[in-house]
Amino acid sequence: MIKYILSPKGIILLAFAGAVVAVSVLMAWSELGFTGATPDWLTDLTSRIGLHGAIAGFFNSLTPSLGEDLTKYLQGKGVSVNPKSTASLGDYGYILFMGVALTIGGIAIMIIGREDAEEKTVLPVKK
Amino acid sequence: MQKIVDNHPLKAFNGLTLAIENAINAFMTSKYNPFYYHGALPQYYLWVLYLSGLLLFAYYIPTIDNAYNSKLLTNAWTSVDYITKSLPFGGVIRGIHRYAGDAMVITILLHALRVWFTDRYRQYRWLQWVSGIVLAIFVLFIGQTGFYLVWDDRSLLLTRMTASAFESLPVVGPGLKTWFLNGDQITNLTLSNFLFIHIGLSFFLLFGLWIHYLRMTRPVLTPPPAVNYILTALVLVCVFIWPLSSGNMADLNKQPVSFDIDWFFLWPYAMLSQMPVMGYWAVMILGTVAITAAPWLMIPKQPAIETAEVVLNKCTGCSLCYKDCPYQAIEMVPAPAGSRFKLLATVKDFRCSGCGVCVGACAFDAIDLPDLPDAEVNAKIKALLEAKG
Amino acid sequence: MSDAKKVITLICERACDLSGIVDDSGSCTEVPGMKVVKFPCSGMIQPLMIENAIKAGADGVVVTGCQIGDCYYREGNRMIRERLLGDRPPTLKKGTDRRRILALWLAKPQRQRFISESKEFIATLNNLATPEAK
Repeated sequence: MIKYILSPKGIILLAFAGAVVAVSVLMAWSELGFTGATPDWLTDLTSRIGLHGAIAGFFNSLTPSLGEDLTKYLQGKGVSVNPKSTASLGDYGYILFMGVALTIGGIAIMIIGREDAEEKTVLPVKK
Repeated sequence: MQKIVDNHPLKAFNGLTLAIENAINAFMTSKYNPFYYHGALPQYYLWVLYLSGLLLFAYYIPTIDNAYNSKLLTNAWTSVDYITKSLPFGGVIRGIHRYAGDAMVITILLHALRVWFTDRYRQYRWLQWVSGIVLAIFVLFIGQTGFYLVWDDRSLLLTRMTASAFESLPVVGPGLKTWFLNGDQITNLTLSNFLFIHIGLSFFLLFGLWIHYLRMTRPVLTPPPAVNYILTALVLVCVFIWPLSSGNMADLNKQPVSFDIDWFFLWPYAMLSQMPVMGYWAVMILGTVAITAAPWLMIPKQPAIETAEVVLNKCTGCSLCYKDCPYQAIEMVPAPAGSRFKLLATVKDFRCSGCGVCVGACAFDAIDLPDLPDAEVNAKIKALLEAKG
Repeated sequence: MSDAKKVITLICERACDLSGIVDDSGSCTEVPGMKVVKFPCSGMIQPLMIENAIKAGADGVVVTGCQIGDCYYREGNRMIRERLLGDRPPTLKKGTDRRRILALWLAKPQRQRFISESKEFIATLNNLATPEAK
């Protein structure tokens, strides 16, 4: 197991796994409309494992740059939401990051699974 | 057996298709090559459409009534507006429904082109080709009704164009128009009819697909999960890049004159706006007939298929060929009286492709392709091995 | 190399394109000792035919079908692969020397791959000791 993780392929897969987790965190950030606030479930979860400062800091750091860019892009495309409702521009960001996460995940699964594909079958010798 | 046809007009495309797929195999491998699941791709998007459509259906209101022109009024346009702007993830679900539809049209086109280019649409496959054309037309029409349901400027214009195009047809025209509008003019009932067509025909697709899959043993219905992830991701990213918004609410007292074209579903309207209506119908009907007849028209002289033949006194009724036949061309019938065995395999010639899988499945040499009997194959193998060189 | 190994390939006529490198007598000009028998689909190949070939003096048998997933007749290559692996009846007999059988799944443009794999296979056959007693 450890040997596999330390092999080049294992390292690539770990990088993919990390990327999927990172993008999934961005989904939570988008859900609140690209603000620095963390959702309650995430606050609770990250406080328990002592990571809250890091996550909140990550959220805050994204807000003035990426958050504003995404907001500007969506508004430029004519997206508007009813301020009285719970809908938000972040819904679109959520779906974007979900799409990115699915793409990364799909590619990672293909990297693992492609080994089973074959252009050649060597028959196992029966004893 | 079926001969490889050399005079196929699309022979060059066959080579091209195989070359493209070969290039894809180089980095995706055959296991994840989307072309090897080309029929399952639109089927996957159909499930996405059903699910997202169900969520939209929960909030959609099929009326056009805007007599009071009040913001509190709920009609089709305002309900879509509510879904898009106020419902959490409503705009996103609407986007998914729209782009999954576009993706379905693209994948259907890929599917059709692939079977055409690789010469997999005629003879024993004619039922798949013809039912596929019918399904494609229904998908197009269902998609178009989806554009009417939004009930903005464009919906009104499309509805009027469709009604007048129907009306201009001889004999059936007036009836079709009345059916389409659910009355003589656009009323609240019209949108009820559109919603019924949109949802009702969507479920009719399942019936059509049943016919499409008939004669296919073990049809490939779903791509591997990793491919599904990518298919889903493509739609989601489109939802972000091109977010949807409605035009203005339709106003029956005004006639909108232009609209944005969705080239996947609305291309017939682009044609209709450019040519006389009877010319439009002539092109559409003749085009459909020509494409439907392609399995018979494309190749002038199609060599007949040499179908498999059961050697009656050798068949043990073991059913292996029946299980392995990819076209359900073998039926197990009760063996004639006096036989040592209970069952006997029989070949339905009209379904048989002459591929010989049944020959490979038979351990008793009891089924043969008449132009390549297995005794001949074995003799040839022996002769080749004994030859010098 | 006193006498080249005799290898027979049972190939689907829609799989990798050997036209031009197979002469009229059925010998492959690119791979010495290789004989070619064409089938409408690799699914038609019976395990019995492979056994017969070995019995008739073939040193090896190469089964060649299209890429898995792309059978013109839908499932032929999967069927013969499962039969070779013993997952679908009829299968190879117990005593058959499985080291002498290779299966390749190659698309039409993959002729070079066919040639290199066959040569490699013949090299492994050369390394095999005399045919197993049993």
